Amino acid sequence: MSILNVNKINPVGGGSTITIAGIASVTNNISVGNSVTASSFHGDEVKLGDNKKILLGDGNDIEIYHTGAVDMIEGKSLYLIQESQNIILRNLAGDEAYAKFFGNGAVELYHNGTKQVETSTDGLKFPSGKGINFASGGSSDGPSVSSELLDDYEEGSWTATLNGHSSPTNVATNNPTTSRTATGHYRKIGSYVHAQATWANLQQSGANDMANHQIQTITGLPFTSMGTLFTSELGYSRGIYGRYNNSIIEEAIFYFYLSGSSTTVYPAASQVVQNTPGTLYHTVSNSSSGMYYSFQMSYYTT
Amino acid sequence: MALSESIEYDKIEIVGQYKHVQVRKAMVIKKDGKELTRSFERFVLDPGTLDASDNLVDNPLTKEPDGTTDIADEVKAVCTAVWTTTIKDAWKSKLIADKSS
Repeated sequence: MSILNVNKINPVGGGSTITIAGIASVTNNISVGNSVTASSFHGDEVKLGDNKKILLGDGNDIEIYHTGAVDMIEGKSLYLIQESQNIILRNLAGDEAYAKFFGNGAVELYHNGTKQVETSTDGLKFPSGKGINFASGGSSDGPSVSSELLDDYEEGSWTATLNGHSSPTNVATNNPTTSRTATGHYRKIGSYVHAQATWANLQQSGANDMANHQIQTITGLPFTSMGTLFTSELGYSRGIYGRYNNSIIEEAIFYFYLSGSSTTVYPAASQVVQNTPGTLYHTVSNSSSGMYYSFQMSYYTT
Repeated sequence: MALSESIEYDKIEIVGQYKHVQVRKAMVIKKDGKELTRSFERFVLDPGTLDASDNLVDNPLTKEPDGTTDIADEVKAVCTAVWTTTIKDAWKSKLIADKSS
């Protein structure tokens, strides 16, 4: 390749265009008063001062520049599309992720370097202990609010066991002779649990025969209770009456109670007799007619 | 196309002062190795029960509450690790106190 060294180029004649058929090598600077046209540019750096822009598109549709304070990418099109197998947004040091986008996988969002939420095949997925925080930061929530973080939802089944004694006059609660299981269901929203179960065919020769039994406990709740005492009323049922030993009271309020740190529910009944308080057991009638018993309760867990 | 069904004990939690072992059992159904559904069944294990004389009978850790499924070894290991004598004594006292409430 021949090299032509020149100090000054003056266009000849009336034209103002200089054409170099080969490669022009400039060892110092090039100053251009208007524009540079090229099919391809190769170099080590492109440097532009503050608020000087790289303009792309026939209509200068996207601008890339630095204001002196912040870095700007301004797209005038309807979409700004970035295509890559995976994308990670992170801090300048490269050690704190803001967001990660994985092809064919999750999108993860971070707060101060800790993952807070990610997408999954079912929707949003929160790491343990994370959730939706409803804290407003104001005083309108009242002084007694201990948490506004909704951190869990779950639904499923549990094996509910109904324990009873074959003697309706029995008065203990820890000596069951008969146990019947049923598949119950639960919903857990934050620390709030609702659990239910139903036993059908309690009658004589029924599939869950507990005829003429004292009902003692329901065991197997899906979560351990927290707090002190939870209670609920007896609802859907047939053939249940209130009894303590040989005392049968026909007016009673039937309920369930659950103490703290427990998965055992005690069924009981408060007799309705003026000036004569008394607690009765749920008791199953001695009958071959269809009988059933349903339990439900809402309580808190840790 | 191959469907498979498996059980995972995907949460084994130790809860509260009496160290209840709270277990979530997930039934996972996959098609060609890709998970289709996951359903949950829960149960909680405690250190034991009272007999008629108010003695604590240790939880035998044999069957899940359904009465048929053996308790998984990984669950047993957690139970035996956390149910110390101190915990059992406290649990027994709680059960006795609950009886009188």
